[in-house]
Amino acid sequence: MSERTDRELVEAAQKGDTDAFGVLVRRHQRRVYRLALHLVRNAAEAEDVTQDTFVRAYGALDRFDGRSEPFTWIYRIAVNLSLNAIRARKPGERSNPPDDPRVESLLVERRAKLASPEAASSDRELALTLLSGVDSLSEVLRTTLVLVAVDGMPHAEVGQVLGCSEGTVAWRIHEARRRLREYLKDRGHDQGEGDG
Amino acid sequence: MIRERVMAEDPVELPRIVETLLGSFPIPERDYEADASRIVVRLTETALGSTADQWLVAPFPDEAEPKSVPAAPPSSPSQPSLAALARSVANKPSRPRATDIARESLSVAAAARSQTELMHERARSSRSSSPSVAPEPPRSRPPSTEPAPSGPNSERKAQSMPDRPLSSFLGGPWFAAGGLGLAAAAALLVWFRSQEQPNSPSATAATGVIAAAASPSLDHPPTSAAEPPATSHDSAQSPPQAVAAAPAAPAPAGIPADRSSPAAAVAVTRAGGAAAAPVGGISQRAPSEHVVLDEKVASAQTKSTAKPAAKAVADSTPSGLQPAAGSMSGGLPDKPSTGAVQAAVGSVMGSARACVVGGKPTPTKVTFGSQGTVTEVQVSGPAAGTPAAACIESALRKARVAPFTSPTFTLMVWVRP
Repeated sequence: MSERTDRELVEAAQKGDTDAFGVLVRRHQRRVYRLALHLVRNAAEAEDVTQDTFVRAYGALDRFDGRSEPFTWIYRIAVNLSLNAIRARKPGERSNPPDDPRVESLLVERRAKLASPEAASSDRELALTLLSGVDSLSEVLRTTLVLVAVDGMPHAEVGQVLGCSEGTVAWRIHEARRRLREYLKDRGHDQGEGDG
Repeated sequence: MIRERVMAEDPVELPRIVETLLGSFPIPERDYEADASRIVVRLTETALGSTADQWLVAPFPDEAEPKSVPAAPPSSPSQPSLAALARSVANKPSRPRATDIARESLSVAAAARSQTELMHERARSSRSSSPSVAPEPPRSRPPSTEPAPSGPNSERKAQSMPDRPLSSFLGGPWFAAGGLGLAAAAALLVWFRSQEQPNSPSATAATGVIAAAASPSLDHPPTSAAEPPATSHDSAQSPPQAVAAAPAAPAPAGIPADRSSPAAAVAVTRAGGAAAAPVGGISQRAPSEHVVLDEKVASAQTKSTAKPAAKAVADSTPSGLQPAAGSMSGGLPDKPSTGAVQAAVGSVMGSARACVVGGKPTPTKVTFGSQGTVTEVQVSGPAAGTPAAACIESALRKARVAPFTSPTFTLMVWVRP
């Protein structure tokens, strides 16, 4: 039996089939969690955002008209919930949270690939600077960058998520990269560092 | 186009390792199956249509492209703007007092125009006839020094003032425009003064407009404007106004979303001994609601009743409310500020909206006690008496404002799905 498409699952869920929506959840929860984690930078909040995203998506199924793909529609809800979680924090908590789960997981993965402690140390510094640079971007640029560069979504789909044109997405990515480049350059991370 | 050019001229490249890091950012491993199971359980408690629209809106839509500022529409040189305003007010079928004021202003504007035309005719006659025909006694200048009809203003200005009769300066459309401008400026000045002092006799004779509510500060239109006209004396004379105005009350949007019409969205009453007026109801408080909802409605019946009305307000209101809004007593405000009320209600409005998903806008009266907590929520309209009303009440009761000295503070909100 061939796997049902997202649209078919949504149509079934609209008729009351919660199991179909469960399939949709399992299919996209990892990506939604990664998106939420990069936006809210807190594992517990990202978990809450992920859960709320799918629950609210289910509650809004009556308004899904099929003009976009279900997962871009779900992503939009995830972005809105993530931004809401950020804005609900106190001003002092909006900056980098102390225990950023992204850092350690990145370093654990890369440490295995690097031969020397020096390379690992340099890598850690670059990773921290990169994350700090991404977090220093505005909500608009950071969200766009996460969707495009981290999640790998095409510009057209990102435009559907954010409600803007493809050209605007391209411009925002350009601007985000430019600022990130300046940020890294100011901290001594120029072109041609390390390996890939 | 500019963006494309900039992107083409400066294609941003990040260090290769940075691109690699961005593209392959790992995340901590989780038990996604357990997460999914928890979500599915929550789905059984979730109803279709329960999600508010706010979660579906575009988070970062396209920004408006900068456009060239359109040229300002050419203004008519002989624009009787004040007269047009007065006519528009006079044409409104609502309040007889406003109509009277508008008619008076029309007459004033007409008088100014007629005077302008008269002086213009004098100028024409002085140009076309000999100097001896001019109304002012002729000076020693010979006829040849009379300026040509189409002569520039500089010629007239070059002539010394004392040697020329007044009419010689009155030429052509310039004087007509100047006269109208002066008349309009005078009328506007009177109008602004009437806004500040609606009880003054000049206010009722002002052009165009509409005296604001008498005593309360205009800084708090939804609240303070309730006070002064709400008198037994005034209300006895103005029930037709209340009837006429009350239907207008429910029109505007609810508080948190539409700051452009807070005055229209909020009707405030004081519960200092007087029953608060229900939505659309007619009571002695109705005129105050009427005035609050529409600041521009004349509050005083006539100048003969304006002052007694204001006095009656001070006498009739047990709390002795003074015209100026926001007065302090013992460090606490008389009533919560508009911003605080809006913030408090706005913070709970999302939950309230969820109660009327798919329903119709619901008018709701919210009463704050002096401690700043909600003491009463009265849902009216189609949702009254339904489970949605209890849901709305439960949500709105969580609103909080800072303590204040008045016994209660009541406002109307519209809960829109």
